Amino acid sequence: MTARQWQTLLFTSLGLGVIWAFLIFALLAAGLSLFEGTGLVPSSAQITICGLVAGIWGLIAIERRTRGLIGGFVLGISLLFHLLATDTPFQNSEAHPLLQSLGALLGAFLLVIVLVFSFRTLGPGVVNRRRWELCILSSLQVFGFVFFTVLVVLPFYVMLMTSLKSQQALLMNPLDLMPNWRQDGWAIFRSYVELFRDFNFGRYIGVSAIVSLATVALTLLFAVPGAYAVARLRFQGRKLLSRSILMIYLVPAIVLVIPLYVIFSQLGLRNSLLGLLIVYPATTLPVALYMLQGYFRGIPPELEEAALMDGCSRMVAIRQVTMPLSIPALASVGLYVFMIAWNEFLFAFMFLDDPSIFTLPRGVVSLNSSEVPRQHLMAGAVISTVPILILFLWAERFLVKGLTAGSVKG
Amino acid sequence: MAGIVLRGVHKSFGEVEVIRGVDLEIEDREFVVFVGPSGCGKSTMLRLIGGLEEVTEGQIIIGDQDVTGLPPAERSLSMVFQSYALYPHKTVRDNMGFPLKMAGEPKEQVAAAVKEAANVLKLEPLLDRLPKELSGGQRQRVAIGRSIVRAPLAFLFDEPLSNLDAALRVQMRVEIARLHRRLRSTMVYVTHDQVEAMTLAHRIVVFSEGQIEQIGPPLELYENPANLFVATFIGSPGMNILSGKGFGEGQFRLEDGSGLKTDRTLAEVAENADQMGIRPEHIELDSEGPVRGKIAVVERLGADSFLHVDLEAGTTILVRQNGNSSLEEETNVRMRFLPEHLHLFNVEGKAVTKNT
Repeated sequence: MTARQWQTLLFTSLGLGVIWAFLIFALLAAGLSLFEGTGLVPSSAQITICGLVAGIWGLIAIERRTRGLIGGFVLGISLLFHLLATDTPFQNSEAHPLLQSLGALLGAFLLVIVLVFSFRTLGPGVVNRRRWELCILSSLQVFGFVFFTVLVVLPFYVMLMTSLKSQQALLMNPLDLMPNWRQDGWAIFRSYVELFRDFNFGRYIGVSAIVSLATVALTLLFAVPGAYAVARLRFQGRKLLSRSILMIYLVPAIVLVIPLYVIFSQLGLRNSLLGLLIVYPATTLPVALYMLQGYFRGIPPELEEAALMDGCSRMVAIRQVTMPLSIPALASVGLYVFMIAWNEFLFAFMFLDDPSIFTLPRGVVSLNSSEVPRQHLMAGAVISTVPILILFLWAERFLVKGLTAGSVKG
Repeated sequence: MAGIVLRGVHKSFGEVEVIRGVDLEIEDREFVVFVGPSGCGKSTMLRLIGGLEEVTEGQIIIGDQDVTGLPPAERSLSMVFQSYALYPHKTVRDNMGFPLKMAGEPKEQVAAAVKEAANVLKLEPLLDRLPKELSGGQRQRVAIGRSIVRAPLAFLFDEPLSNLDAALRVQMRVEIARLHRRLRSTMVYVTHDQVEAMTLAHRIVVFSEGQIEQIGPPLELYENPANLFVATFIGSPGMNILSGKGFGEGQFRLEDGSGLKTDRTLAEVAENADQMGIRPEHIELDSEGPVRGKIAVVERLGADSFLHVDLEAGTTILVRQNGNSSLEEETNVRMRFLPEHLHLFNVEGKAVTKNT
């Protein structure tokens, strides 16, 4: 290898070592802090040196192809992490020292794993541009995975844990998210019990469910014929129509909400579910039309023509052939619309004053207006999130693609 | 069973006129094949008969009923599509039974009809499979099965074998011929495949640019093409066309000056001729022959050989020889065109009538 290639290799391994050391130990420190309820901050010198050592080790491992030393290096780096600390490994003697040592070990392990994964494409031997790019891409791949996981999991974790805590515990130490597991029976779920008992959440769920399901039904009722017409039939202005479908999204809802408020007040539709059921399908229809027409276009027209020849009228052909084949599309559109309606906040907030017809998001925000403690708010958030989660897991089976496989030669 | 009559059928898509006046009578139990280059309107014509497209002008009569305005469902026809068009969510059994189910037949009768059709097409072991679990040939067989279960007035085939590989195509072609013999029903078959047309048809209809060029039994079209288009379209490899000029006494002179004697003895007929056609198998190599050329390429296919011969005038003609030709490239040869197989065409491309 030339000096220049050595240089590239050195910078890459050291750079990735330091970057990943920072990422992993910062995440671990944050995780431990949430777990222990006290701030754990390792020094940057500690992390940098560990990262450099890990990088150099990676460089050696590339050249020698010695994977056998992984265990030793995990121990070595975690030992180094201990030695460089001025206090306990994560520089906070309030937290459990053994836990911190375990954290350091875990951090070293993760660091080595990520580096091995990234460096696996390099060496031994000449490092060309392709191998180097693969190395960087592997690293980015892991980063993307970690980043989005944290982005999704962390807020949900905070939400769930906060909802399980008591008012006093929250006031005493807002950072400590660990609920007290040693309570009697169902006491840990007291926020949920109170929401359903004192704050009418059972009713809100019911209202939300009705509104969402009705929105799905109405949207599909209009979207299916509309999308079919745009996808299959030849008529004047078809292209214009199909292109303008998404135009409605150029107008932000916040611009529409005031005029709609005025109009609906005049018509007596404002403080009513009927009003919501006019607005919601109107906002979900464009996307539903757009998704469905794309799917209908993908269904070979010969299938319907065959049904026509086999003695069906067009309506029967649609019902017998097109609809059964569109189940995946109908399911995903339905799910999507359901989610939008379930989570919709702006119109519900503006239109609804009567607590007996509050939807869930409106109900959750009404908690905020009084001196309702934070754990109730979080419990409300959990209540409104979980049904969607369950629905997605359950409906996943309907979203199977490739149902038209084998019908026509492609 | 019924015949089909087309009267002055026109079809336009917007500004584009695809079918420009077609008159045709298909007799009961006849096997008619539509051929023509792509875009000639043959598939559109079939879809018009089936009712998948509406005629712009003209009349379609099936049996003794005018079906011009009727939707496809009320025409009692069956169609087999190039892409098979099987219902992917239904089993083979349900696919084949679908037309009868739609017609409201009782279950037992549907089952019996499906069983019989499956028996004919050797599909019994596959009845409970889904289309995606079948091979291409099996799918096409199911599509044919679906079309025969309800005993339609006529069958429409839209290039049914084009998606199959060569060996399977030959096999299915024979099966369709057998099917026609067994069912003895009217069939209209669209293809661009010469061999399918020649072997299956009672009569071939040659389409070009939305019009019928010629109608006739396969060999009639082969031996007596009405015009230059049919002459070059029917037959593979195609007919050699040479320019020249007709003289009196049945003489025809090629551009390079070599004279040919035709069997069209009437002087005024020969004088009309502007172009001459001769099929590759009707040219003999003869050291005394009037036409001279040099072999450019020899293609040996085993059963026969094709010689590409450059004439002195610059055109290249194709000569067919039986067996493996021993001739080498770059050899000078002399040829004789068999006079009884010469075709003469006038300036408009119309055949100069046979007059012997």
